Amino acid sequence: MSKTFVEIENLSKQYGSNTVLRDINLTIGEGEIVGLVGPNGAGKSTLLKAIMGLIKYSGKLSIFDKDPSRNRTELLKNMSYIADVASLPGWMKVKDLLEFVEQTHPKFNMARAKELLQDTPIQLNSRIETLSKGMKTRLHLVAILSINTDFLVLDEPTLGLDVLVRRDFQDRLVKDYYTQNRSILITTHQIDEVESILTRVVFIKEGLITLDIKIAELKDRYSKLITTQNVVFSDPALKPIYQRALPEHSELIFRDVEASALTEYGQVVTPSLEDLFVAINV
Amino acid sequence: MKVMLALLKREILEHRNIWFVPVILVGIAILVRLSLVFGNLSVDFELPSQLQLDDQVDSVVNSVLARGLNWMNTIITMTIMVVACFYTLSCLYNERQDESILFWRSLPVSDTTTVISKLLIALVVAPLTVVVCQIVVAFVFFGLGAFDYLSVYLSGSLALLLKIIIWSLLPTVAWCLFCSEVAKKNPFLLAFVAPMLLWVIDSLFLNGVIGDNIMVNRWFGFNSYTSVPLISGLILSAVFISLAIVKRSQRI
Repeated sequence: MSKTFVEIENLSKQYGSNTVLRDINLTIGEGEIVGLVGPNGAGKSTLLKAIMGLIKYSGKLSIFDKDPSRNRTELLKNMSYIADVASLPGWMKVKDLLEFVEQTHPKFNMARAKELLQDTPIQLNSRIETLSKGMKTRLHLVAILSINTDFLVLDEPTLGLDVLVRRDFQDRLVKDYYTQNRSILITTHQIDEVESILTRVVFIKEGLITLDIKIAELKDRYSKLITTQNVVFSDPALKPIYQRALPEHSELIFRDVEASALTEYGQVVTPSLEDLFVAINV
Repeated sequence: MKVMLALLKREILEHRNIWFVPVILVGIAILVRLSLVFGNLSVDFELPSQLQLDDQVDSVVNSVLARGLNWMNTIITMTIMVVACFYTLSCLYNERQDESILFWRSLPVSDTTTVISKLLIALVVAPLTVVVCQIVVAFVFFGLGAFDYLSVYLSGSLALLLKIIIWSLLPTVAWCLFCSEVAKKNPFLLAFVAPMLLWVIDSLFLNGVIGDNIMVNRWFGFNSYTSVPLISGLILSAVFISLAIVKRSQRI
């Protein structure tokens, strides 16, 4: 039987008269890399705060069958969390940082951390503030990935990092952490930042989940037509959910339409998450 | 326990003043002692030979030195207490400022444990440093004769130190921790201005009720304290510390 890490039922959150989350339903099991994607202010960080037990909410929310708002410390023993890779204390030495995590986290494995560090130019005696931004990210990841937990939460982890560091970050997540028994939840407002590693994507807009789909199902349900013809689709069964006119061609996104019905108009491909994100959220 | 030790180690590594200031104080004491031997403080004076073996002269010289040292020890106490207050003012503020709070709070350490570790630095580690510092300085001045001096000095000063901790230091650092946690821009300003305002309002409108009963003189008043301000100080300390913990636990 596969394990369930996160179970959210009808979760809502209001700040005064402002509803930030409406009836959220979300279940995360093992073996998933879920991207929680939404524009700024969509409610994704509020949802993450609820998951981390930092705010009160109405509805049901359990992480490992526990209420996170009551068991935050206990919960953090079973999950790993990176809020912001720029948050490591600069005054600390790498060695002291790893020792601190070792002494405070029961599931931290120092041997594993040292092994991971060997692939990097980071010295144990370096002060963290002397490291480049990319190396700080790397170090944070080493510290967190050496914690032997099955659920990892990342909040806008690669915000402000250049493309090389970002790519490296993603690859290491997959290589050094992810297995069939573990899951990762990543929030971002830039879908292209995480697109390639996700197994499932959840779009959130104005407090509502607008799409929750496995990447594997994506190509069966959504298609993108690239055409140079000026076609008008009047048949309701063949109606695009989004279209975009570009200088050289037009792009149309379809839901639940057989690709064979479209090939006569042009090239049919699977839409990127970015395409889909725009199509669904405009 | 392991977690608490890790937290204390973190504070000592982060706030170097906690051990740097005592080291400087001992350094100054060593300089003064050296100067007494061959520097500008040395006295070009030789006891007449018939007095050199006189115990009474010895004890007079030592008691003069002891009085000087008592002063030095008072300065050590005051300085380290001030360091403790500034430490509590900055510790919770700094971790928000450099955003490392996000990292600290991503580890399974409760906010209560963290805040208590900071309190322990101010209330236990700092006073211990005072005593260690005083012992080292006594040895710098008296050599092995320090045992005699310390047995007399510490027999009175330890009780006094305990009084200072409960009567003055605890309410002060509790207030400072609270300010450090809630201040948006400047915990130092908040910590000084808020009591000033309270004092102004108190003396203008409340006949000094608050000042006489709760705030009282906590710098020099510890020989004459009564139970009402003592208890109100303890209660206020508990309130400020709890508020700091609650406030930290709500940070994102």
